[in-house]
Amino acid sequence: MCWGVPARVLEVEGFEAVVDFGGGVRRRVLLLVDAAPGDYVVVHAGSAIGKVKPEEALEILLALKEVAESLSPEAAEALDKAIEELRSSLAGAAPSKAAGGSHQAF
Amino acid sequence: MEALQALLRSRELAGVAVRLIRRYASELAARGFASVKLMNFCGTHEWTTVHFGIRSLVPPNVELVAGPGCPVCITPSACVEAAIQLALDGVTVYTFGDAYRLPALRPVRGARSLIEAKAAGGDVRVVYGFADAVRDARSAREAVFLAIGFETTAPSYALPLAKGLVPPNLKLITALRLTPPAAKRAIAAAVERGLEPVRGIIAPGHVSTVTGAEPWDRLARELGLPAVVSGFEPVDLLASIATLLRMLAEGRVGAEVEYGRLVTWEGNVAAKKLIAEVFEVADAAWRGLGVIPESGLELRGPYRVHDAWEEYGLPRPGPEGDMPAGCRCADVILGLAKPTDCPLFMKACTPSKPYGPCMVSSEGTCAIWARFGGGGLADAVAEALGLRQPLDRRG
Repeated sequence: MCWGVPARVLEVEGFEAVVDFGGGVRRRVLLLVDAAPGDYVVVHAGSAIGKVKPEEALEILLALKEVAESLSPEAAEALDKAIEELRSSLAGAAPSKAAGGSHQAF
Repeated sequence: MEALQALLRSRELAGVAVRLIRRYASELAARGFASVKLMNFCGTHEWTTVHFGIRSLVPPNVELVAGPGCPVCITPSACVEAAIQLALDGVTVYTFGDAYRLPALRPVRGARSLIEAKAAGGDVRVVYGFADAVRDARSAREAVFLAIGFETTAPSYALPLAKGLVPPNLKLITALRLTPPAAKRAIAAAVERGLEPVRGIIAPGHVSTVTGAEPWDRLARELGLPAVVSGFEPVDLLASIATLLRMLAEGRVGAEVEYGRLVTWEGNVAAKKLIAEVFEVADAAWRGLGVIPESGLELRGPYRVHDAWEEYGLPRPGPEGDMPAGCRCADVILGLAKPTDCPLFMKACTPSKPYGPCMVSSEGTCAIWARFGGGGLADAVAEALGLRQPLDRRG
């Protein structure tokens, strides 16, 4: 119930959006943030609760996948596909920020 | 290994965090803090802590404990019983997958959970979110949604209700709960039992996406403690622990935000407005914890037409803790006991045959410990960070 999974917004229709979790998984979710097609959002229990940068979406996917492996092989496989897709989409974009750069300094 | 790679991408930061944790921990030890207990309030934080072996990366005088952080585990038995009863009476019941298996303390006509109610012929439908039920219920007859969740989930109910999208035949078995009051209860419980007090709060990231850091700041100041709103990756937790120890060493109270990617001070203002429009704060029962003042959300005013408790005259959750005999989930939820302290853990209570509520949800503390056992990836991570020696010496 506190999982948040990143997804890319495909279409926005009023309070709802169709998002792509990668690996061919698409869902209709409620939009609790202002988001446009192409944005990455974090989805919790059927609602997009926050927006993230694509690089951050990748970081979240990598951490989730590691945990998912011990929970469900299907989930880990789906996340694998999502990671692959996001990586190749990022490879075509500008170089990402330094790892951990979004974390608060000590 | 992906975990290692994920951590190595932030290797420098993780290394800095672990060294800072050690520095501040020994500083605190020198000043008489024999043990520094930090409590998390989110099942996902506990997943990361256990899976990545964070407990092995921090010095022995830093104790990481899980508090009430799983909305499934703390859902009172009466809510599950109400859903089972309605399902057996021919009402369509929608539920999240997590609550589908959640056992009631008292079976209803032989069914102990919604999965058993479905097996007995009840119309129980597992959905991905409330919006799916809203769409589906337009074609259904009488229908209810087992509306569990913390602040993160509350806006998913509030938005369709506030916008008038919910058909009149769909009612809610409201079981929404607020985390700061439960955190306060768990922190007080340690003191009441004469246990080591909680010294710092690892505040939940996704809850705070909605609420903002402000409620945690208020709670932390009231209790004279530091709090850090943390993300879920290993480096997030390490950074948050380091910040908490530094705040303790400097005698600072109040909240800081480590999870700045998603969390702001004021949170999701639009979502908070929706929640306030549809719900009012009420005293609420938590499984294992009893009634906590102002810790739940109930439908307000005109939205009460969607209240399943009123519609069907269901008995509301009472003050009893609702724990099965011999089960120590109540203490586990409060962070007073570890899953391994329970005599039923991995004997009469396993992930495939859960006895207590903390074993049901994948985010229950017992289920997490059951899946990962003790070690996790700590050794590999420690080696990658060049921290092998001190860990070896610790034996």
